Amino acid sequence: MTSFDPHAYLDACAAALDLPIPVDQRDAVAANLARLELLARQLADVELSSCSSVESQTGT
Amino acid sequence: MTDPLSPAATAHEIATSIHSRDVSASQVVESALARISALEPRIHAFTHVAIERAVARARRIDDAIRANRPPGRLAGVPFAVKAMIDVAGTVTTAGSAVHVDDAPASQDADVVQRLEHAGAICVGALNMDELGMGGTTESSCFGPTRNPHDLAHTPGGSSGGSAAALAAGMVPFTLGGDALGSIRLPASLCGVYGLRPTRGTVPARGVLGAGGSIGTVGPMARCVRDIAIGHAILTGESYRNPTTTTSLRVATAGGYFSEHLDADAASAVEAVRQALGARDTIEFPDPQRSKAAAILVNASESAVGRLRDLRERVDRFHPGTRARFLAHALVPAQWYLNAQRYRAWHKSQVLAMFERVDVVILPATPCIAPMLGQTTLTLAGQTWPTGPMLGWFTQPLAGTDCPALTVPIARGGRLPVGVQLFAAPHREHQLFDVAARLEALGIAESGIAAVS
Repeated sequence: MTSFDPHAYLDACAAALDLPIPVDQRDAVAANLARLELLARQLADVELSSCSSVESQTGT
Repeated sequence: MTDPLSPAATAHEIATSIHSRDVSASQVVESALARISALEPRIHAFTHVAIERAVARARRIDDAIRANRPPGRLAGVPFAVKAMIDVAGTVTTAGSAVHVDDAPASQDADVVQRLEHAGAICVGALNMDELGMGGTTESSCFGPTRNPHDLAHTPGGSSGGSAAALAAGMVPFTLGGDALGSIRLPASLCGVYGLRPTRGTVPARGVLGAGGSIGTVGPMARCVRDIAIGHAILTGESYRNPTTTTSLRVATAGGYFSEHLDADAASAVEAVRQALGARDTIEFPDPQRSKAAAILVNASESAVGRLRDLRERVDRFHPGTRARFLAHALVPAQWYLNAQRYRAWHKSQVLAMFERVDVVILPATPCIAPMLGQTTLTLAGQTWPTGPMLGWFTQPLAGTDCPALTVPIARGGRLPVGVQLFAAPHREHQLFDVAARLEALGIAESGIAAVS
């Protein structure tokens, strides 16, 4: 996973969603995104055994 | 048997007394409403008390008994529900100013209907963290709920009102909702039983925010039997008395689950382990990653349907949750989908674990209830933010869809702490049997707080 810039991501994504971020919330939202990205990073590269059974559970 | 008008009376004791005409449903409801009225200013467990509805319903139960019509297994038992559950005629606020001006619910949620069909009487809605986002019930737009065992402490959350109302003896039975631990955590800090049922077994119609893939409604009470009765009614499954003689393979979770807990929580786990003769320790599969996956899934799902509120009236969100909901609305699909993919794999690993063991003992919370307003916890020499740390032991189980029961541990009047029991999907009966054994041995105990 490449380095994650929460402020840059926040600005781009909020604009795409037409979601205004109050100025006084911007840093706190970015901090929350950074915390979530750390969690996502834990799951990004994990090797899952028995992946075929997993695919069948997550498919529709 | 306990006096059915006593705050310590359990749901099944009240129903038995009403069935035998020792007391009327109207007397029981009047008694509960009087206790709520007396204690509510200090505890603030309720967001709405449905007085007229409860009194009318009690009269109908009494009429049924006089007419020799079957009044239901929980005849005349007062109960209350987390404020995310629809109660007809009441605004479903979920503790959020975003919803306080909504129209009242036009009908009861399925879970309320099922309990009232069994004769129970809904007396109101209970306080919670805003939209379930929190672990201390401090982010409610109605203000915080206080722990009846010590009013300076949090009851936990997000179902803090549901746990506090039980601990104060306001009602003998409540409903909570649990995604990352919101039933199990406050049950531990208030010294009551709280069941997170197998996900998908309790109907979700009429529950605000129930569209996610992790959360479920579940019963909370002051004895195992009431939990088992409530579970049977909520799920439509046959009721079976919990038994203390079942032979089950019980093990204690090691590693992650034996670290980051204080002496109170550790001694509670040890008391349960010794009482059950659980010599084996089992490694729960990859708790750090399962916790990460559950948090990511829950975060993303918590923002579903919230974009309009976040765009048009973000100032209505509690200052403590506003930034979290905004961030949750921005979670990329790849994070969410990867977390769901991991979660499915992890669940298969947990099911494999249950080939070797029936019931796993784990801590419910790392400590007793923190003070209201306390922002950090110090455990094993490290300082942690209070909210995330309180869910340290409930969150790794959240994505498994398996049932988990918090059992309150007898502590001789000190602030409560509970222990989690965890089983394979649809094996709630095993949790109830183990809990019943702990109850019979005096290890598990749920007392009424002497509210000062």
